[in-house]
Amino acid sequence: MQFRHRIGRFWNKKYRFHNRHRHPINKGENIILNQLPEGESAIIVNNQNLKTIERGLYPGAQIFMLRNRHYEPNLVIAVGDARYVLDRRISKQITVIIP
Amino acid sequence: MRNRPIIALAGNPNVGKTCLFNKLTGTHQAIGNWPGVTVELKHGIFSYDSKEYEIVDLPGLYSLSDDSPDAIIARNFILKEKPDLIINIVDASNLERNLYLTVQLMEMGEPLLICLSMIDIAEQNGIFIDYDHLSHHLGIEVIPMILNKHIDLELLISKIEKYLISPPIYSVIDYDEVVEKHLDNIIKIIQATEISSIIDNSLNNKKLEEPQATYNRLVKTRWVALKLIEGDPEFTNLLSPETKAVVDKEINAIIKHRGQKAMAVIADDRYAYIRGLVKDTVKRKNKRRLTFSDRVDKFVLNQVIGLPIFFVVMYFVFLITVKVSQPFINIIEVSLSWLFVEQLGNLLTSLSTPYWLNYFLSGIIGNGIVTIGSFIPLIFFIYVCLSILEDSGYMARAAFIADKFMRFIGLPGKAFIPLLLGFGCTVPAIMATRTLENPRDRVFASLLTPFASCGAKLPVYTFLAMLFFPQKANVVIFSLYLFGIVMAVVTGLILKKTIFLSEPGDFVMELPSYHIPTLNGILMHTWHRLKSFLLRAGKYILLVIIIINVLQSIPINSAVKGEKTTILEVCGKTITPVFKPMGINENNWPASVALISGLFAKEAIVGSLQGLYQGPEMNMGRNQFPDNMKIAFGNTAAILAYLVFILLYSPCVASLTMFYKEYGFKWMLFEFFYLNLLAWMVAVFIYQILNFSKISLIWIMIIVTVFFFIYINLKRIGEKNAIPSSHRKILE
Repeated sequence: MQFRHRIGRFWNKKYRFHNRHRHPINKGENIILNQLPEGESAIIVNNQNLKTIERGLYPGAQIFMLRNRHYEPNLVIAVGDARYVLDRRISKQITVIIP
Repeated sequence: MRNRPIIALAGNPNVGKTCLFNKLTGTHQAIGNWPGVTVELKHGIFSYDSKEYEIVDLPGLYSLSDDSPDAIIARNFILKEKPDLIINIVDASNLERNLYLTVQLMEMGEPLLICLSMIDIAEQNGIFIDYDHLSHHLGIEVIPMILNKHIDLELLISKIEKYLISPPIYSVIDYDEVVEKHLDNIIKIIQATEISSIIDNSLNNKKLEEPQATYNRLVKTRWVALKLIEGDPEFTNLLSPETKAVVDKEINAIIKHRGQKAMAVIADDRYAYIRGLVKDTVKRKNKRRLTFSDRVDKFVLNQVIGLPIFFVVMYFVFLITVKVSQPFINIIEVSLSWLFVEQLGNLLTSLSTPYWLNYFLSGIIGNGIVTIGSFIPLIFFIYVCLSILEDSGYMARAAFIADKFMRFIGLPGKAFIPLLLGFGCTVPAIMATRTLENPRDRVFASLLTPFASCGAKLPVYTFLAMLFFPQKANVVIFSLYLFGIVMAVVTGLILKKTIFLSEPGDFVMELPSYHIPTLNGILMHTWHRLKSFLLRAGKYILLVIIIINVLQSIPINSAVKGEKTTILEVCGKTITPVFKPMGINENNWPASVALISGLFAKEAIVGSLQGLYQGPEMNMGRNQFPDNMKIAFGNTAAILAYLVFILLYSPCVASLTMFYKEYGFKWMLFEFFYLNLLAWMVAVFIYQILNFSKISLIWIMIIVTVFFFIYINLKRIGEKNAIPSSHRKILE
């Protein structure tokens, strides 16, 4: 294990999370919303959750990940001018693509 | 059209419905920068140019398909009461999402007028809307407004009058070609079935001329067909099994074509229409990815400092409340006492009124008014602080911070808002649980709201803490609030492992932008709550003071020959043995009586204690209530146990009534007995630990046994009648 990973494990969970997800995600690849790293934007390609579609998370909408920590139960996302706290369980029903 | 037309205000949460309602009707409903401010219908009358209109403020809703109780209240009102006009308030700074409800209202065929709010914020965010173009596309008048500033009433009224006389005829949105084909098939099925006559009856078309009636019928039938595609049980239940099978066939064809749930297909196509509309009518400049609120949230929602920030903020709220209000309490007490007790007494004496009337008016009612007046500064400052937090948008962030912790006790983070409101009053807190979508979460959150010490308990804590712990009153009060939270956690964990075995519902919550609270907004918010608190609590306090004084004045024969006693003393002495293990001995019966009066209203405890410890019948050797009280309680352990009992025992009658109204008699009884038993057990435990003796061990063992007995029985009940969560419903 690299030294920075070992340090990250003990004192910076956020750092570890970014390293785990930054490299495998490629542009144009379909991923589940909760895999979208913080600070990245994506386009919704499929959403099976009506409640969130009605709040503006419809296929084609651009989404920006404001906060995604794997140890937290929720995500904070920006859709248009609205900001939502979204349950990680719901986010599994949403597929996005990084443009 | 009715003589007094009904105008409903509909829109998403936090768009300014209540603000417009207040501007029109002149009433001062509470306005908040967080969802769930309006959880029931608010009616008001608006007069203009000798004509009256009935204005109805509907709860905020994102969609008419939403299954939360506040959305159902709004939808049922539109469907059953049939308002003459709906003013749809649309947030210009978040146009796409807000237009989703507009499209649904248009599909319902309701007469609609659009009021665009927050245009100043939209312009600040670089969003510029071509209002005429938008109005032209929708076929509905669009009025831009800044609702928290001046509104052009004349313009609004002229548009209202225009639409009341001739409702707008607007176009309906076109769905995907294949969806349209199956939609037409379903419309034909509806027209051939019994639903068609239900639609005709609901429309009341007789009063309308033919083109308008035909248009209404067509629009309504199309809307019912859409509801069937969305799978709305209110409409699918109207179908016979044969018809349902044919409709299902059409719906399955849509699902097969799009590879999505039918509801999602309809929602998608609505948004496709809205996106085209917005692209055509909105211009964006200086688009910034991170807004000011996003940058503030980086600190406020921080995993490490977010929770400490919340606790520091709340500590300062209570510190300010207790410290700043104290000089005002003294001023109000002295002034009211001079006016209503001394001067009124002197006036009545000069008028030669009978002694009993003088005593009743100046002694009982006058002192009652002084007691009520002394609450005002405390309640005022706590509500000012909470209003600042609410109006600024911080409350929604608090729910986010609390989510991880709330899940630990089996609730979604959104349930934190009703619990926070419980610090003001339990009644609106129970009402605010309606914003939770899941029935399990609503009942569960309501059961925990009494643990948040309401505003009415604060004067009781302050009164007792300042009397018994004058140097550390604020620490004692803050500790009581914290202990309430700890007990809420304990109860939450017990209920999660017993009655509410299923998972909490999904959590989706909007984070409103931070606003600088306006002085007018804070004062209006505070005034509304203070007034309602005083009017509601004031009459109970006065009533309890009068009853207690009357019961205290009526002498009856004592068991000891030749001695006289009072009815109140007998009642108090009868129930006092129950409280003996928590340090309330037989001579301290006024403490028991005060607990009974607290069931009417918690703040009445102060009035009862003041009245009961004042009298010579206390026979403590002195005639001053602070000394009598200190002697009656004897030690610190007894007063601490008593304070904990007040914190935890049953909420007031008004809260129990609200509980009954929302969840029925069974849950109300559960709440009443559970809280009283818990309060007794915890108070006895604290007293026996702090005042440890040989008998303490027996009491502690009894409490532990009772606890396990309750736990096992709750678990058994839970396994039999677990309330399903949305997840369980899906699995089933």
